[in-house]
Parts: sequence; C-alpha cells; structure tokens
Amino acid sequence: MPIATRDGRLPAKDAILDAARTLFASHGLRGTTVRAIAKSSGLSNTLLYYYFPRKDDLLDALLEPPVMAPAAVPNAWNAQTLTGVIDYLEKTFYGWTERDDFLRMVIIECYAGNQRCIAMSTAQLNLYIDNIEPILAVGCSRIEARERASALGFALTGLMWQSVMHDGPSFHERLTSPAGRQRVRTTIELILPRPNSALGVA
Amino acid sequence: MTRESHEAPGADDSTTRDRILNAAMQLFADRGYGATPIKAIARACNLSDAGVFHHFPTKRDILEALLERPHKRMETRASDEPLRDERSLEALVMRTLDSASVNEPILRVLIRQQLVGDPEAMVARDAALSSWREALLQWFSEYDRADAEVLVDAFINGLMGWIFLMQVRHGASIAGRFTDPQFRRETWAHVKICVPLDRFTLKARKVYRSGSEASS
Repeated sequence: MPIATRDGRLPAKDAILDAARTLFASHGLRGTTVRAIAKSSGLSNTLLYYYFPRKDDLLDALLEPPVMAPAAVPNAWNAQTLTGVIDYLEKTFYGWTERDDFLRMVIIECYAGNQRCIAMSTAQLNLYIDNIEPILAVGCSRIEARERASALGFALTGLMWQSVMHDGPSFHERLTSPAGRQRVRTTIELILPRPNSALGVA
Repeated sequence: MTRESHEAPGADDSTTRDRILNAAMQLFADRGYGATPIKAIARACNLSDAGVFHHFPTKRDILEALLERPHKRMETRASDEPLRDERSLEALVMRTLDSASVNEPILRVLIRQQLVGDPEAMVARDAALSSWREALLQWFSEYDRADAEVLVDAFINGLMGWIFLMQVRHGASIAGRFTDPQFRRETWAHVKICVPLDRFTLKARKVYRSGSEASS
C-alpha cells in the first residue's frame, strides 16, 4: 500500500518525483539537495532515501519521455492530407512542450553534460525521425524524406529550445497561443514536401 | 618560461585580467558557474587565489565582467549584400558558424546561467538574440517584411536546434567542429531544408547597385 503525504492526496513516491522535477527544472541536479526535495514534498529524508537511494535514481525515474501516438500515413500528398499531417506533427510537438518542467530539466542536464539525459534526448530524436520518415516519404523520395525528417527534428528542437530560453517557465502557454501555434505550424509546413496534385486522389 | 607563471605586481594588469576572464569563461562553460570555485580559475591561469581576488573581489564580478565584454556573439553585422538566393544563404550560414566558433564558450556560459534563472544572463542573452534577429532581417530585406520574419524564424530554429543538439552531443569539443568542413556541409544541408527560399518570392526587384555604396 502506498504511503500517502500528510495531506493524503498523493502517494509519497509521486510527491517526491513531482518535487524533484520542479526543483531540477530550476536549479539542475547538482544545485538541488535531497533535503530540499524532502522539504518541498513534505516528507522525511529517510523516506526519500528509502525510495531513491541516490539522486541519479530520481533522475532515472523522471526520464520518461512522452509516448508518440502512432503515425497516420496518408495515402496521397495533397493539400487536404497535408493539413492532417501538420495536425499530427503539431500534436506530437505539444506532447513534448506541455511537460515544461521535464523539458527544462532535460535541457539543463544536457548542458551540464549529464550522459543519461544526453542519451535519452538522442534516442528520442532518432525515434522521432524514424516515426515520421514514412509519412514524408508519401510526398517525396525515401532519401529526401529522411533528410526532411531530420530537419524537422532539428527545427522543432530549435523552436522548443528558443521558447524555453526566451519565455521561461510559461513557454508552453506562449507556444499554444494563436501566434505560437502559427509559428509551430509554419515551421512544420516549410519543411514538409510541397503538396503534389498529381498524386492527389481528390 | 616559468617566469610568466607568477606575475610581479605591476605586470600588465589588463593581460592578467584577460587571462582570468578567458580561463573563467572556459570553466563556467564546461562545469557551470556554480560548480567552479575561484581556486580552479586561479589554478587555470597560474595565479594564487589572492592574485585573482586582486582583480575581481568576488566570483560574481568575474561573471559580470564576462557578460559586459564586447562579444560579437552571433553574426550581427548587417549584410553587405542582401540575400536573394541559396548561394548567399550558404554564405550567411558559414559566417554564422565562424562567429559561433569564436563565441561558443561565452554563449554556453550565458545559456547555462539563463537556464538557472540568472537575471543578468537573461538580459544579456535576450539583447544578443534581438540584435541577431535584427541583423538577420537585414539579410532577408529583399523579401517582404512578413516573409522575412518567417524566413528569419525558420533560419534561427533550424540552425539553433542543430547547434544545440551538436553542443549537447559533443560537449566542449563543439567549438572546434564549427570550422570542420564536414560539419559545415552537414549544417548547410539542414539549414537549406529548413529555409526553403524557393517558396518565397523576392520583393519587387530593385536595381542592385553593386560597387557604388560598398565603400571600404
């Protein structure tokens, strides 16, 4: 049976992870003490050590990347299917940015040379490229689809990174505003192959 | 020459100051500001702790001096030839990589400090970013303002995402890669896809006066 916090709302383990994520996202792993995590989650140091003997164990538990919905591969590459593809890619992008604390934590740790975070980011980027390549291949050659898929991965990372840096903790809010959505969709659209009416089914 | 290792008082103060700043910049970039003790900075430039304190009373003073130093940061020079085709876009990418290679450590210091919420680093980086954006808009001035904004955004996102991921993957050795031909070709291949000039139309063509305005 999970141990509850004092106010009885969250199982202790979740309370610890929530507190750790928030603190890591503003001070980094090195700048966060176990004591601070315990204090912020309202639990004892002892309980914290019981669940997570080392700080790295906390990080491992937090490094759960968002799950990407399976790609819907269109059967043609025309204006109509293109909108569907942009919708899908936009949704995937927001699946990342809505976890703002998680992203900040990963970026801080990547810059600090944390190999776990670097490996996770690299694996996620490769997975992303593998996932969307078949979609783009409907509109262009296989080789070109690979290049465009990588470019999309880099450009969206750039957009995410710029927003984290520039807008601080409220970056997801900014990105989902009408102007933010327009930026996201334009970034995606410019990198996708152009609609090909010859391939269209209409 | 070991004589250089311990400077007598009265030795060129500005040189010592610069040496401290350069050593600190590299250490802050690699380990982070918080994790770098004065002792490490002193050791890196062959000075005693007191030798460092003589120039900078606190570690914070070193960081502030670094942020105030005139850096070119990213390519902020206005274009001497507005961009109108892929060839000049490639030139812009190469120039940007050149200045990134020179300014890589200070950029990393700024980014790391901004991420942990250092207000002065935020101000410095936002200022650097907006002057970079302004200069880029100049480069794309042959396009309508709205198109230029989209192109600049595409350029910044495409390039910064790539550089960020490479910085993370290669750590401190990234600075050397900016001048590596293979790395530059790869960068260009990515940026070319992110900034598809062929989807935009140039503003009503003006006659481009080639020599007359390009003095010096």
